[in-house]
Amino acid sequence: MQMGERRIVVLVAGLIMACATADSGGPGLEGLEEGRGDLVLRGGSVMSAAGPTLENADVWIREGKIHAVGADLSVPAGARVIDIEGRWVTPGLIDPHSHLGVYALPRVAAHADGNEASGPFKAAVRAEEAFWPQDPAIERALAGGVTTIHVLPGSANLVGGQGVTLRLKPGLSARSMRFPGAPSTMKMACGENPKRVHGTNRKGAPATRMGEVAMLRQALAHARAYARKNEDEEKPKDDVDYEKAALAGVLSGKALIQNHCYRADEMLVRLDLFEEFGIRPRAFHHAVEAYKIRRTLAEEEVGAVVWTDWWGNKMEMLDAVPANAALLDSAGVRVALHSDSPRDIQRLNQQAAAALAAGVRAGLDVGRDRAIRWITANPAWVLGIHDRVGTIEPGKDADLVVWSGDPFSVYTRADLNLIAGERVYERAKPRGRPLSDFELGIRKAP
Amino acid sequence: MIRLLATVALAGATVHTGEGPPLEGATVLIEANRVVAVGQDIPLPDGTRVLNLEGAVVTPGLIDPSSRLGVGEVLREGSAVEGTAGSAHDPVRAALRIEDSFNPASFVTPVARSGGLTSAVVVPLGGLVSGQSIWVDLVEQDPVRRTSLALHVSLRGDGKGRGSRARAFLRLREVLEDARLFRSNRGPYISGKLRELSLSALDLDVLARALSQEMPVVFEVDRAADILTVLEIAREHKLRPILLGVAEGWLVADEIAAAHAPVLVDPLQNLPSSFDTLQSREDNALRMHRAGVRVAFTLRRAAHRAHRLRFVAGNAVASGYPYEAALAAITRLPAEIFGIVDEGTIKPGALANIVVWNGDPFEPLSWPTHVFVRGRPVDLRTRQDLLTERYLQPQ
Repeated sequence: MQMGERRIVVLVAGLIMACATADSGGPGLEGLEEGRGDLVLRGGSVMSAAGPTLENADVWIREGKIHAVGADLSVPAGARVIDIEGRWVTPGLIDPHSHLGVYALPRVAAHADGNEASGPFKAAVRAEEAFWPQDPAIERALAGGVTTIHVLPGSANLVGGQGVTLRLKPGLSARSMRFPGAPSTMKMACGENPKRVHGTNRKGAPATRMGEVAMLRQALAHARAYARKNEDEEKPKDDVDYEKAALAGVLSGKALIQNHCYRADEMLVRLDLFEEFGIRPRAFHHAVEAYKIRRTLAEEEVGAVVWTDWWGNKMEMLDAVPANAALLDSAGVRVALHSDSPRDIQRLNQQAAAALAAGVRAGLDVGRDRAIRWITANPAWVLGIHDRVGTIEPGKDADLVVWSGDPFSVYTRADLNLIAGERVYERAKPRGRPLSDFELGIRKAP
Repeated sequence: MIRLLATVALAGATVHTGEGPPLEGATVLIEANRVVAVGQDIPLPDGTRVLNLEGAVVTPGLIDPSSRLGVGEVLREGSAVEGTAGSAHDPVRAALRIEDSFNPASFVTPVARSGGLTSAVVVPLGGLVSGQSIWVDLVEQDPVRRTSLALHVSLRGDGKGRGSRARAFLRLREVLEDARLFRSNRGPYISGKLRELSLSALDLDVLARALSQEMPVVFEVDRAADILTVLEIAREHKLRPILLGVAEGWLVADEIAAAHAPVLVDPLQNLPSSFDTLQSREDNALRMHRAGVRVAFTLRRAAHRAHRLRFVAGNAVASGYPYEAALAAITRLPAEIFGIVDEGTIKPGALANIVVWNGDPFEPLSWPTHVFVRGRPVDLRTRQDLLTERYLQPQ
């Protein structure tokens, strides 16, 4: 348990923030006094990500879970009731592709912990074991209504290592922030990055796309042989090959493959390769050309994790279109938006709005109630935590955001973030806002 | 005389002119490439083509005052981008002219235009004195409106290189002293009677023009202490400084205002990304605006994401920036700051760079339906739209 430690951090941070906080915040939310017992968010627009938006509805939270959703719920006496008339509620936002903590700010050489680029296969490394919880980008992400992030190693390697799903409830270690029960994930990459890092820059392998595929095929075959030889998982081993064991986790389906891949043709090659081993990736990330193969992705039940408007940095990014998400959604692909950036993670809701608008402009109006899923329910599925979070439905964890208005407006701000019913961020109350140890005594007050 | 272009009336929209409150149900009359009238009751000449825009919003074309449009197609590909190489051994190249790199047919530009941009200041990068910028309208035909728009100096990144900032400032002072000597001794310089100077004749000539206030000097600088040093150097040498970046500007906002130095700022820069920007704040731009500084917004070196400029302004409004001031910060103010008198506003005589929006231009759920550059409607379909259309067909 890290609770004691965390409380101290929050209290100290609160004292500092009382005089150092940036904006004065919006109007406060009355009724959220410290306490236990049921909590009711009363009279807001509830964008549940599980159906149509409910106007003037209540969300009833009991013991960290969503207990009921609907109009005029009769709640027990003694429940804490927060009037959120005029405000909106959505599930907490989920960023399925982030490097917070492993490429922490300030961006200095000492903070470059995201790519174990010393070799093209690094399945054994874990993002969790490099994550710096004092990254000052974390609190800015919180202010954007983000409650869960998936932190990944970078894309220098064919197999980059294990990702970690974290709840944005600041703590002293990644371990204390880990999303309970979230499946493990494995970062893989294809295309320009691995061959540039290992081929062009280091005169090693892989140097080409075909080299990338051949090397991955060989590594998966070795992992399969290793897994067969060590089928009895209970048997204690004194010669564990962590690299092969981690890849074996991919083959057994225990670890979800999160595959960085831009081009349609390369995604199809990847699907064929994985097929040889009887597996499939959970999702392609940065999949700027996913719209070209959307029916295949839908049939194969492979998710697509995309940006709204990034393009042109590399040749493989050239065919990005802003209507990508809308095209994918219309074809039945589980599409999620990601930030990959400490800047854009602060405005995922605006990214969803822009992607929705791009669809409308192309003649595909999927509607807001679908678009909200791109930053909630669908990334939850990509990370395998969709039974716990991502929608506002009875039984789900109360990971919620109360917004000052329509979440698809540029003028709207997150007023309150709850994780399992507990406040982790409140705009109006500096005490509800954490501050990284890094900025303590550095950040000046106006 | 035969009219080459019809007179066009944009009628019935809410018109933000770039100055003052919006005009409801107003008409903008465009003749050839200029605005000839704007207001609620404009008599329309015979033969005017009327575009009924009831419910739409009209603004001046958006302007990014520090852009990399037209100088890079694919950033990772050395052959497809105009690099900044040579910084280390050639940190001072005042005579470099970015128009020599500029490609009016860049396939990046249409995406920016589809986001409502009609003009940009295209800047050189790298070194300590990077070179001279240009003002472009985002059209393929004769896009460059002004060359030698400003001289660009960078006190961040490779401007400092691996040395100290003290050394960068020392070199800058040395460069300015040489140019000053050159300016008042051109004869002796040519006949070889002047002491040896540390720069080429071409560089000296350009620097001399900056010293004569013929062109402003854009200093890219973030740290509060560096901003004060820059202002002191500008005062010493009677330069016309414009500050770019200015992440910690809020700490010295009064000094910036007193020096009458305009600033080009990204109001969304709130991350302590480097040791020069530890005091970054979301309300940095707002605090400078309130202190009386002339603030224009920029995405700072953007090309592929230049279309996001309007969202930057919208988010500034969400953080307390007055709406019309935020719109002016991406229209009228960049034009004013660089002395382009006929852009950035909608008024009689102004160049007709105009955007028609289907809603609030700051909202991600709105987009431009018409963009006029120099009075001509621009085809808003991008390569991205063509790809979308192609793949919308059943697979």
